Amino acid sequence: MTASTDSVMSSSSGSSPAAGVERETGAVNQLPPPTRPGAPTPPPADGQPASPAGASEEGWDWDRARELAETWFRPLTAAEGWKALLFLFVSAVAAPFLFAAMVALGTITFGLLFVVVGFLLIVPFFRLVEVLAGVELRLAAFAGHEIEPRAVAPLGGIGPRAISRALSDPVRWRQVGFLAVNVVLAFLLFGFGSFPLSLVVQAVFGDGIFGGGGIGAFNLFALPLVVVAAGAIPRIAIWTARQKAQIDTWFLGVDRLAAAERRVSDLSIQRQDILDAVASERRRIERNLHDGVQQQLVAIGLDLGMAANHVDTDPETAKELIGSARQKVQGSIGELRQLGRGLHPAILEDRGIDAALSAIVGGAPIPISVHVDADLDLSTDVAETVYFIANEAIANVLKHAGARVASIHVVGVAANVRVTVHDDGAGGADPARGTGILGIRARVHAVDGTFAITSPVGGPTTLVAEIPRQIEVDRG
Amino acid sequence: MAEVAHPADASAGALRTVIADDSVLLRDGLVRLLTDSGFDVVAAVGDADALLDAVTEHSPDLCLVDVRMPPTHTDEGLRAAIEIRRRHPDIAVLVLSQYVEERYAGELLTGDVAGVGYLLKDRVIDVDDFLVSVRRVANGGSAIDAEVVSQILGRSQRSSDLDRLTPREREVLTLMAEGLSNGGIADRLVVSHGAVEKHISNVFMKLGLDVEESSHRRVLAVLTYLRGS
Repeated sequence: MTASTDSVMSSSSGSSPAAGVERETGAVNQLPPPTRPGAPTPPPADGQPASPAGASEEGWDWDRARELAETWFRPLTAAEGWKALLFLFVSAVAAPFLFAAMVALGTITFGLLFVVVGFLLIVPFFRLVEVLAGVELRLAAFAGHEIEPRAVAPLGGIGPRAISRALSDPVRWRQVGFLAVNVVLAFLLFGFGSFPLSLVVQAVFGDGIFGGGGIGAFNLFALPLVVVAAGAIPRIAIWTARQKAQIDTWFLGVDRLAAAERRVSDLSIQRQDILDAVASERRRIERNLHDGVQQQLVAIGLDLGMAANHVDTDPETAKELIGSARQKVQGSIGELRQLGRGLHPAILEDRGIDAALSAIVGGAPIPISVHVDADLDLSTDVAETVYFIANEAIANVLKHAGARVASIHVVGVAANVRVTVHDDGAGGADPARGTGILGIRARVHAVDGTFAITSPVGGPTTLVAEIPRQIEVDRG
Repeated sequence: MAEVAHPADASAGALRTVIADDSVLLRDGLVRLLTDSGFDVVAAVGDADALLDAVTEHSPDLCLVDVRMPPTHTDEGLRAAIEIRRRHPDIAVLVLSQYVEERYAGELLTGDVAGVGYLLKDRVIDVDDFLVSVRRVANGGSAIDAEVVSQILGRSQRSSDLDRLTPREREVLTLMAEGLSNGGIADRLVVSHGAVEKHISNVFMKLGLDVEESSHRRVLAVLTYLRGS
């Protein structure tokens, strides 16, 4: 704003008073946009509107040309293009050596098959291929193309089983195929990707300035060629490197479709686990209702029924029966409260995970310490999962372990939150049995977490669950 | 009482009873109720194995058995009850269930229903009625929960036949299926014995059943008829 105000003021001071009123409106329309760098001062509102337009009409617009040149040559100063070129170059140079190494060991292996020793070389051969193919991946990564390698099954030893595993693994044969194809491919792509560079070099050092072509060739042909080709160097190199990285990915990179399929199958298992956990949870609730509260209500009814029969003949007994019924009512209320707490802990929402866990251990017959990282800020979903894990784990400890002490630790570990429940009880907790542990595992897997329990017979038992702090809707 | 006491019971005195229920509260309540009502509770146990042991040891007249007991809390009690009936057909068994599960009821009520009962647990709250049912079963009658009967009625393949019954006759049929005697039905419906007998003969005529003298055989006939077999 300041600049334009200045210009208007300076221009108006030198403006011709002869400028007509009728030109004034036109001048406003011709105000050039202020975005143009280095452009002449915008014309004053009251005169001299044609100055920039006049300049371009007169001859070359040097500002525009400089802009174009800058745009065209700027990539030459960036590392990306040169890295791509280097990638293509090194890959092309390395490819014959990698191939030769593979062929050499392959030949020896094949040759020695007849004297059995060759069999021992089959697994090392595939190992070597894996390493050689890894070189290309590293080169691509250098050029900015991170290729997630296709997972190969580990071979484990060099015996017959490892051999059959190696021979039957299509991923390993892809590596072999890549090394073979790459000999030609890397060479061709380097030739293509470095074409502008070789043009420039040729023009400058070959037939151009210093070469046999002499000055004439330089003037008429080489200069525009060098100008155009120089700008094309990084562009072509980057494009070619990208194509090569894609081909590498096809041979060596992870198979997106297979990964997606695996993900789908993982998710199906997860879903089954969740359904199982929900079903067992419902069974548990149903059992608690039927075997706990309902029985108590029936017993209360029975007391009251007997009391009703006694009330006229034996008021003392009736009174005693009513008292017993009242006691059972209190027991039922306590049981219902506990049942509700297991379903959805209100305290979790009101006062957070620390308070909720403290409430769990507060009612326990053994001392249980609770440690929750102070700066742990958990979303509701995550806090509920943490609570569920701790609650189930402690219920298991109290029911089965016969422990004297136990502890709950909830700590942040990188992007995860880790729940550790430890007790000094009898151990021997078997994940295959006991719906409690299965429920925890399903709940943990449902949020892409990890779960482990170590429980040697004789104890102690440690349960570790790690879940992401951000539970996201899965996008595969 | 709706039923006349069995002669054998009179000579033996109090009915010797085994109670099996894993809920301590309810078990204690039942023990107290039956003891107060003149039964001789010889054993009160918490699972099916202990029940079978107690039956072997005491040879009771009657067992009160909870369907769901440890370890799996599914149908341990029922299987034990069927086992008891198989080994000792003379021991009456009254099964108490938390809810009607026809699979359970059906298994128990196939075959002879003399001395067999299947009641919902909450029937014990109506203390007097419950005791009537217990005594009826102990004396070789049967007590089938109204819920069970109405489920059987509701799913009966003979609904077109049943439609021909008057509402009163339907009520009588239901009470017969529950195991009540003529006297019991008359008490429940607050009508005279004669009226009940008239309704019953109408029902049997409309459904084409033979009139059975003994009430438990009558129950069986009605149940069999209703199941449509």
